[in-house]
Amino acid sequence: MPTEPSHLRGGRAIGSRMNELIMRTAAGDQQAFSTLYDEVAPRVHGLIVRVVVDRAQADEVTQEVFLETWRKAHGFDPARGSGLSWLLSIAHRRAVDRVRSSSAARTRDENFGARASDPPFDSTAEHVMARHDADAVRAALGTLSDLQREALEMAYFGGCTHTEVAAALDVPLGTAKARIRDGLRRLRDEIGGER
Amino acid sequence: MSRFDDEELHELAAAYVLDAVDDMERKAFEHHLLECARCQDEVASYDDAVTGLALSVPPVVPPPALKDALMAELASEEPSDPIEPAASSKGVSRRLLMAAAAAVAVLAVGGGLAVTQPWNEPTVVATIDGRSLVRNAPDAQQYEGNAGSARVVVTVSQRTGRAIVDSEGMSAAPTGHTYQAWFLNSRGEPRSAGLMSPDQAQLLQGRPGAVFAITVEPAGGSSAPTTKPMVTVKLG
Repeated sequence: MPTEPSHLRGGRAIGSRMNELIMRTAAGDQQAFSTLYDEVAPRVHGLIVRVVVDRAQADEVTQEVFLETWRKAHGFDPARGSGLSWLLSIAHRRAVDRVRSSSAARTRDENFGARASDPPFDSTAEHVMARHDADAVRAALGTLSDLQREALEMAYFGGCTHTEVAAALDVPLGTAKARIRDGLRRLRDEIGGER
Repeated sequence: MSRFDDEELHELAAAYVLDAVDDMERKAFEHHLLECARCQDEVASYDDAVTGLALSVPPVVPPPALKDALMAELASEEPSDPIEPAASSKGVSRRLLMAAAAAVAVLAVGGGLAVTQPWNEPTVVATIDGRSLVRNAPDAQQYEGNAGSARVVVTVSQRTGRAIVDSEGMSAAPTGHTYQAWFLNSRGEPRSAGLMSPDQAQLLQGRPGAVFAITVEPAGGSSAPTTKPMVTVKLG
């Protein structure tokens, strides 16, 4: 289990361990994959549940994401970013793919209320760190204008394209794009994400 | 892709990293990203912010049965196994496509789109098209080179005017740097063939030249080589 302290950029501290586990996974090390799963699955699944909402479908997507991780671990290049970012980006992409298929969207609407209930928290050290990360991001999100935050969250957590965001908010596409872009830039600058 | 001009493409970076683009926009932007240092920098600059968004969500422990099923499934295959057993789930056709893609990758190529971000996987269809274009060309020729323990195979089809590269045993580029592929003409003048990820098959940009070379360049790539090539392969 990782013991490094972590704040948001400390995602990289965890990331270095993730990198090692992913590279061992690429070499066919099932034990490394199992450890990787144990350490990161709650984060991956949490993100997928948030986007997909329907639990049964979220389970399927999480399984797909880890199978993809197993099969494509060789394509991970630590020089280009952290393993945690890599994994979460695969998870997000697959969750969004699922949401955009129409049957998923229907189930999702029916289950929208499920989002209000608190998912169970795991109390391991890593998840305590995740809460720190969450606090930092929530603080940074608080500096966005309401319009920026709304557009950014619809895009990232709602799985909407910027075109769909514009339609849902009844604003011109250029306005939706600008809110998303300005919101993300603000978030980047607030959490010191620039390298 | 002609529906997007450059300025529109530059503006897609934020939506792209959030997966808030449609498939056509994604393809257009990924194509653009290969050659636009400004967008490569912008995309990279959002990494922590996007990861932060993902981490701001409460973790949810998946059902234990999910891991059991996963471990059972992968016990029956190797990572990137070129041939995987058919499954009965709905995802089978996609997974077989991926397996087919992996099978080709063993000797050859990938779509050239996975070069800018580790998570920026090309779409399966694009990958297969990119590979099959060159792999299935009747005039495809393979040329091989070595750099230390790394092995590089370039497959060239003059008829299709494209080439693909596959590498084995290359270590990751140093932090802040990237591998870049080049074609040299008969006078030794270089032209970029795109950024390269180690051990990842990819379709090279532009028509093949007389010689293929790989150099280490600052992240984002260079307009001309700034270091001595780690490997050169004479094509023909």
